[in-house]
This record gives sequence, C-alpha cells and structure tokens, in this order.
Amino acid sequence: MSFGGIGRRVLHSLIAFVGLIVAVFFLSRLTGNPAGLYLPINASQELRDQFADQHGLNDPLWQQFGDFVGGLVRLDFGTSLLDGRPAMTVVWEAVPWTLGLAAATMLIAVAAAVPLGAAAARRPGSRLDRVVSNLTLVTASVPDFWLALVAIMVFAVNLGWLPVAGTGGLAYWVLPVLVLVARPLGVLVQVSREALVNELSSTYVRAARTKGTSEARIVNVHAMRNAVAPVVTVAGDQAAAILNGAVVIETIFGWPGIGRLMIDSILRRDFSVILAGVVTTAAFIFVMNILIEFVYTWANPRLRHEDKAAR
Amino acid sequence: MTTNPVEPAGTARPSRRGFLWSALRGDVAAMISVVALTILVLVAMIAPFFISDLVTRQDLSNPTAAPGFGDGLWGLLGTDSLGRSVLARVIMAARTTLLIALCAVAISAVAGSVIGATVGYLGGWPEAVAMRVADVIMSFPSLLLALIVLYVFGPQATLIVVVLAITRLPVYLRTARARTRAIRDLPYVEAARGLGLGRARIVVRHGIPAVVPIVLALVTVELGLVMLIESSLTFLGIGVQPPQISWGALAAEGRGYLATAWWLSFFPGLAICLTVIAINIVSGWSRSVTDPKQRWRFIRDRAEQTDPGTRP
Amino acid sequence: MLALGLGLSLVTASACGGSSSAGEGDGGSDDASSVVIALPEEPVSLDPCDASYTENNRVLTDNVTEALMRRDAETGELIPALATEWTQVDARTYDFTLRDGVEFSDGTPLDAEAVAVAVNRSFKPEHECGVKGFIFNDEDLQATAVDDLTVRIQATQDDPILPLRISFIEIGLTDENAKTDSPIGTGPYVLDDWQRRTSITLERNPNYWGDEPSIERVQYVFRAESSVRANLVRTGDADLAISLAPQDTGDGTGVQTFELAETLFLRIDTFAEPLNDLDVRKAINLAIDREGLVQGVMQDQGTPASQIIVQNIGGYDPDIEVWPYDPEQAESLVQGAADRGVDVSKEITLYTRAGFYANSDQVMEGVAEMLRQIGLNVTIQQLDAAAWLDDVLRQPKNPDRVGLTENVHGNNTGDAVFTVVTKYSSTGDESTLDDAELDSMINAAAAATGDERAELFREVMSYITTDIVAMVPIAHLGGSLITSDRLDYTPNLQSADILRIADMSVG
Repeated sequence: MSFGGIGRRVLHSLIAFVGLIVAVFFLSRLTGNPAGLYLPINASQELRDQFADQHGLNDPLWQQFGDFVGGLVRLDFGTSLLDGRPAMTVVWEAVPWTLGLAAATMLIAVAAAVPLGAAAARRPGSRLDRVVSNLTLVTASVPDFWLALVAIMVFAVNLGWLPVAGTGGLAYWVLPVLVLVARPLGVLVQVSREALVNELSSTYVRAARTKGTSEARIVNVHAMRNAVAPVVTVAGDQAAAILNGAVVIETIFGWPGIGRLMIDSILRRDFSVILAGVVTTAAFIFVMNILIEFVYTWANPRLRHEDKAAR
Repeated sequence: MTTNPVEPAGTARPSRRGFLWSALRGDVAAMISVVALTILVLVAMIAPFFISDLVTRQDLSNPTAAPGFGDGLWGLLGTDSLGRSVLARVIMAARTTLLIALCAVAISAVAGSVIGATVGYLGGWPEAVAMRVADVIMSFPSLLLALIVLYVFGPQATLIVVVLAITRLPVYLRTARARTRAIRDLPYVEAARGLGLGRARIVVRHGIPAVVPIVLALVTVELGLVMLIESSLTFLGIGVQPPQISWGALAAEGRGYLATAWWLSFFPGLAICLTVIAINIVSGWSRSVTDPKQRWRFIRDRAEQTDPGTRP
Repeated sequence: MLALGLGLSLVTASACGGSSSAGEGDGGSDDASSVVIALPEEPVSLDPCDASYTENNRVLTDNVTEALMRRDAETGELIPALATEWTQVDARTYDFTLRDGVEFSDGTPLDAEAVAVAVNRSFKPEHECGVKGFIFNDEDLQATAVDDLTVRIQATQDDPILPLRISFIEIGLTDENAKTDSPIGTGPYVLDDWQRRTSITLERNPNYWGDEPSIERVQYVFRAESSVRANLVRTGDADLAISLAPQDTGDGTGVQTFELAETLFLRIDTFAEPLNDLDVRKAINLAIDREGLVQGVMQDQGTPASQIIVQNIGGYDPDIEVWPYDPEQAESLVQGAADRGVDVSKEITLYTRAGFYANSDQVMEGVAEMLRQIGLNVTIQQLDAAAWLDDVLRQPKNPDRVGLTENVHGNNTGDAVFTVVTKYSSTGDESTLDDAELDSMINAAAAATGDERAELFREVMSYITTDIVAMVPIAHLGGSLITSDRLDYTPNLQSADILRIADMSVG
C-alpha cells in the first residue's frame, strides 16, 4: 500500500483548508472595520471602539491574523450575538442534524444506486438502461429547492401524508431525505453503470466468461469489486456536496442543521457563528476528502501501481 | 472503451459543419434541445422590448388567478398576488438568469483557460501555485463561501457573477493546464521553440488553440450548473435582488403561496429545469460528437443503444 | 451518524408530543392540560427588562413576569396588577402601593426593595434594556422603597403619562448588575426550560397569587414560515399558531382574524427633492390603491388607513379621511410640480424590509408600481431587518437619500405620544421633519392631560397627515391565528404582542 500518494493528497487538502482560513480572515478584514461585522448593527461608537480595542483590531494585520489563528486552534470564534453563547457551541448543536441528513441520504442513495447501475450495466441499451440514463439527466438538472417545493406541494399539502416542515418523528425525515437523495442517486447510478460496463468489457472478465463463470457471479463478484473505487469516490464527493448544499433544503424544511444556522446567522448578522459554521463545514469536507483518498487508493489496485511507478 | 458509431475522427467527415449537422439530425433529443434553447435565447433577447409593460402591470382585482385559458395568452400560467402575468414574468426573468450564467461562465472559461494554458506551459512554481489555489477554491464549500462574500459585500448582480466565476474557475484551469502540458513537448511546439518564438507567443499560438475545443465542451455543462447555483443563491435571498427578477427569485417569491397558488413557484422552477435539461442534452451530445472518449454520463444516443459491441 | 440524528429527532418528537408519524395527528399533545404554541420567532432575551421586544414579550409578559399595572386590551386603561393603587406626588413622581402577599416563583416575597431594584436596573446604560429605549427614550427613572409595600418612582422630567410608561416595566427578581436568561417573576407560569433555537417550556406557578390558570404546561416552538406554523396546528403538533399569512388560513377552520394596533405606512424624506414638494407628496398618497392592496394582496387582513394610529388611541382623528385612489389627479399633480421646475424624474428609493409582515414584499412591489404609473422614478431597495433599522430608519435626516421608507407602527398603549415624538418631532429618532410649529404643538399636547390631551393630539395628527402630508398611511394591519379543536382563545388588540396563557383553556 502506498502512502506516498495519499500523503501528498492529504497535504494538498491541508493546504486548501489553510487557504480557506486565510481567505475567510482577509475577506472579513476587507470590509474596513470588522467590528461592524461582529457587533449588533445598532451598536454605539463606544461599543465599537471598545470591541476593536479588546480584540486587537488596531494591531498590525499580521498580529491580528496570529490572534485569529490562535482562536481557531482553541476553537474560539467569539460569542454569538443572538444568545451570547460561544459560536462553536451553537454550531456543534447543529452539526448532528446536518450529518444525520447527509448520512441517511448517502446510505439510501448508495443502496439504491448500485443495484440499479448493475442491472443497467448487464443489459446496456435495455429499457431499464434508458430509464436510468434519463433519470440521471433529470436529477442533474432539477434545482433542489424546486424539487423540495414540488414534493411539499404534492405529499404534504395535497395528499397530507407527510409534515410540511420541521423536526419530530421519522415522518419529518422523509421529504428532506427524499429530495436530497435525488442528485446523488442519479450520479451514482450512472457511475456504477459506467464502472461496471468498463469492467465487464475488461480482459479478465472476458477470461472468466470463457471459463464458464456465471454471468451473475461475474457481475456481482468480479466486476463489482473493481467498481467500488469510482463509486465510493463519487459518493464521497456527493456527501461533501450535501454538507455544502444542505442549506437550501434545511431552509425549506426548517431543519436545524448548519445550513439553516448559517442563513439565520446571516439574517441576524451573527458573524461569529457564520465564521464558525464555514470553518466547521470546511473541516468536515476536508476530512471527507482525505477519507475518499484512502478508500480510493485502497480499493484501486491500478492506482496503487501507478503511484509506485510515479515515484 | 466501446466502439462508437458516431466516428468523428477523419473517416466519415466531409466537412465539419456537414458532420455536425448530420450528427444533430440523427439525435432527436439534441435537435429539440438546440431548437428550444435557440428560441429561449431569442425570446429572452427580444421579448423585453414588447412585454416590459406586462411584467409590471398589476390587476389587483384579479390576484392569484389560476392558470388557464380564461384570461387570454398572458393568463396562461396564471397571475401572481398583484395580478401580474406569470408568463410575462417568467419570460422577463429568463434574461437575468441567462445573462448571469453566461457572464459567469464566460469569465471563468476565459480566465481559467488562459491561466491554465500559461502555467501548463511554464511549469515550475507558477504551475504549483496555480494548482494549489485551484485546490483551495475547489475544496471551499462554495455555496457557503458565496453566502459569506455576499454577506460581507452585500448582494449585487455583478458580485454574483464574480463569485460564480471564481468558484467555477478551477475546472477550466485544470483542464487547460492538463491539455497544454500534453502538447508542450509535441514536436511542433518544440519546433516553435526552436525557431525562437517567445513563451507568450507559443502559448497564444499553440496552447490556446489546443485548449479551446475541450473548454467549449466544458462550457455547456458548466452553464447548466451555474444556472442551478445562481437560482439557489437567489432562492435563499442572497442572489438577484428585487425588483430584478430571475427564475430563482420568482420561485422564492411564490414560496409563501405553495398551498393556494402553486403556479407561482412551479413554472419558474420548471423553466430552470427544462433549460438545464436541454443544456445538458446538448452538452452530452456535443461531447459524444467531438470526443468519444469523454462521452460520459448524460446521454446515450440511439445508435449506441443497439450497439452489439456493448452487449454482454 | 444516522443513529445520532434519529436519536435526536426522537427526543424532539416526544417533547412535542407529536404522535403523528404520518402527519395525521390525533389531537396534539397527549397531556390534556399541556399545549404547544408555534411562534414566528424565538425570543432574543428573556430578561424582564427586554420585554418590550415583541418576540420576548409574547413569552414573558403576563406569563412569567408581571408589571405594576396592566393595560386593558380594548380601552388602554390601566388595571391594577402588582400594584393595587398609585398616587401622584408631583408632576414627575408617583407612589405605588404593592399587592400584599405576592411571592416570586421561588418563594421570595415581593417587596418595595425588589421592585426598586427591578426598575432601577432597567435604566442602567450597560444593560441596554429594551424598555429603556422603546418606552422611555432618554427619560430616566429612579425608584426607592418608601416602606415595605410602597415604592416611589421619580422621573427626570415632567411626564403626564408616567404610570402608562411604568406599566411596561416587567418586574422580576433580578440582579441589579447583570442580565439574566432565567427570569424569576410573579406570573402564573415559571420558566422550565429554554432549548436554544428549539423551544421554551413554561410550567404553572404553584405560588401564583391570582386565579390558577387552567393550562399546566406550555411549550413554545419557533417556525419562521407562516404555512409551517399553520400546518403544525392542522396536523395536531401544536395547539395555537399566530401571525398567519392570509393565504395560509386554508378553509378557515380554527382560524380567527382580528385587528392589530399596527399601521403600515411610508415615511417620506421631506427634505429631498422632489419629495420636498407638497403636491408630489399628495400625489403619492393619491396614487396608492389602498382598497386594492388590502383586498388583493392582504386578502382583507387589514383595512385602509387614514393615519398612523388606530381608533382606540387618544389622538386618533376620525375626521381624517382615507386618501382616495385617483391616479389621474396624482399624475396631473406630478406634472404640475414638473412645470414649476421640480425635478420629478429624480430617482426615489423605496426602502423595504424583507418579510416585514405577511406578503410585505408583494405589497411594496405593488406600491412602487403604482408610483411609477404616475410618473415618478421609483426603485425598491429591499433590506434585511438590521440594515433597514440602522442604515435607514435610525438615520432619518441623511441628506444623501431621496427615499420612502416602509414602516409598521404598533401602538397599543392608548396614547399618541409614543407615536408622535419619535416619528415627527424635529429631534425624534426616526423623524425626517424639522418643523418648529409642529414641535410646539407636540410639546403642548404631551404636557396636557385628559380630553385636552386627546384634542391636541388630534390636531397634531391632522397637521401631519393633511396639512404637511408628511407620511403615506397605507393600511391598519390585521392578524390571524389558528387554534386546535381543544384550545379556546379569543384574540384581542394586544394579541400580536401579548399572549396570555391564562386567557386560554383546553377542553
């Protein structure tokens, strides 16, 4: 197993993460006086000056950056304007909701996509295959807020089967997850189909076929194993996309996750929480990227080989 | 890779235009999409001169009228809470939506490929820096980043274009760089270098032409994607601001009326949906025509579906 | 991760009493005398001195905390609460006799000392208390205990309506030097739990001095969307939801519509061309189809307004008529102004606040278009609440601005002074005016009492609305709420601000 390749990629992800933090810091300083971002908008001038003094906003920029990074290391982003608690505490309350949503979505998406993709791959050109192709096309093209609105209209307003929004029992999970599943499902079906088609036309599958191995066994064992890498990679990307994009769904469904928290904080100008939320989300995506790299390298023998060759 | 019946390379290609035409004629979905998109662009360009009055004309005696034939052509998709024609507003909103997407994609495509081609040719530290910056942008939670930027600077149409352009820039940068690297050591480029052409001229002469076709293929996919992102941002209230209207803005406007006037959100959303589907069909088609190796995901043309080569 | 998420959701579900797995609720909370109330926004603070903010008020006032007096919902008359009587000592001083035998919910007796602390801390600048800013402007109070049950409250200036203002000071058992999130009051309920961004739970106060209310437990949940609040009640997950948009009232089952003491109006930047022209301001008023907006967009949740205050406020002038809708005359007024050399083509910005009230964005779009129709160059700038308040409303005389500012004014105090001083005196926080004559009229009215006071304020109101046309009244807003089958509640003029659980019952 080659960790050289992984090490390099982890390093790249880390650089990207640090880059994000630098960018966020300078973005907040670009507005001139960041005290305006952190304080209630009707704060008095004295309060602004006091804040600037307290937080060293009059210090040289490099020193401010040092303090900012120091705060980050201690996970100290300041306190929420709204309720006076540490911003990180507020964000951590929202994290499980978003992670739960993402996990449920990806579990369902993968569980449904792989068999569908496999069935399509076994009979390319079949009706199922065409349906699968069109499904992908549509799910890649539908704005998720619209899908959510239509789902609410049909299942909650007209049929009254499911709650419109909010949190509560399992019923409250159905619509948000259903809406979120669409895009990863479409992409994953296509990816697993593509991967399996490639595998099925590879030399060793042909060899297995001539040896008389059953078609089912070929698909389910030989080909599937090698198709894991692309599926997992794309699934990881999609999970990251949900962490990032759940803001729309969370807003529509009144879901108390990070995305909703971010929008609320923006409307209430709660900059500490916005900052903590973005950095936390980026950290999750960063971890996700590393996990993907590990799985990808582990599951893809060819890549391991290339890595060695590259060195 | 399986054999592809649409064989672009050399053999059955009398002229490029003729080939494109015949390929398009062979694909009904792509044909319809191209026609629909052409009409959409034309309508978005011309209609505002004729209907700008209808877009704002109110009829408070006829609010939230349901879609139907009762109120003539402009009542076809119903009216909104001020009695304005939803059809007229959807048409008017097309312009903003398309304009923002086109501008953002154009900026990111041009900037991305120029930077990508340059660093790809130069190599060394400029390349390393550019690639790391691309990594940073790619691993940003882009929607959240857009939230922050638009929060800090306030939502304005130009800023939305810039934000979208920056977040999508790495896609072109990477592609262009990879392509340039691939041709850097080809004999004719070597020869150019041997002739004493400057770096800049080599990039312009050889790098850019090699990069253009592949970037053009990317542009179509990106166009759909950028439209989706813009509509989401606008829907969240940090994109296009009233009184400007885009499809996302109209859908957001109708959100409060979901139970009583579904058509307010439904039709603008449907417009986004159909447009992006058409763009994706065209993009899949153009990929399959220009580069069979890149032909992935979105579309299988009819011929391939009966291709015995992929049958088990 | 999934398990964690589901676990959390189950906790919330049991707390909500939501037994409806498929949305077909069977009558809300299992516990017969426990109710769930859906509010549009969460309180920002539960400190008694911040009760003047609507979102805090709904939870605190008359539920957890009480004031020395209450105001009658219809007449605005003061009713004894924690004080049984009050006597005027001089023009700025009153003595209040406290009710005997009242205890705070933790058992501490209510005495003059506790009340004095509660009053005085409200005026400490570092606390930035809502009541200080909203009710007293720059006035300051000093409270001292005279004896065990008598407290003397003195203002820094003569104030004919001092008792009315004092009725807004909620009395809690509080630390003089710190703010609190766990208020202890004398009300019929005590704060049980505050799950931030999720819910607040109140329980019946066993030590309550008055009649025991019928409901034992209240849980407040917060849902920003009107449709979601309404549906919580329809599916049985809540018993009461307030502030419904007209399109969310459905078939009207369980829905009650009522008048609010709130008026939608536009502030005019009267100092800027072309808004400094009286005819242009008249034209703006004539251009607006108030009836159409109320019927079409607000779907009759409201009535066209002739002035900024509602009928039961002293100073409301019934002789002022609602501006007629006459776009032709409006257009000719604008044309006339143009002929006199007024630059009517100058861009006028209509500053609006996003999601201000039900369908506010649509109402303002409608207004902007009506003004464009008469030849004015109007563009909308939509702001979030914070920017609207601080960048526009609280900077009334910004000379760079040519603007109309959307505002909703709520006054259920019974007295016009709360409206007029801030909004129209030349030193008012939100006033675009600089009118010496008006200032002296306001001062005279504010110093008067009784019938004379009402008469003088009527003159002020008429001067503002018809003589100088300093504003554009649009509509008195209506409100609606929905209750479940088992909850009984009759809303009143105060219901948008004060939701007394003691007035509700379950059956």
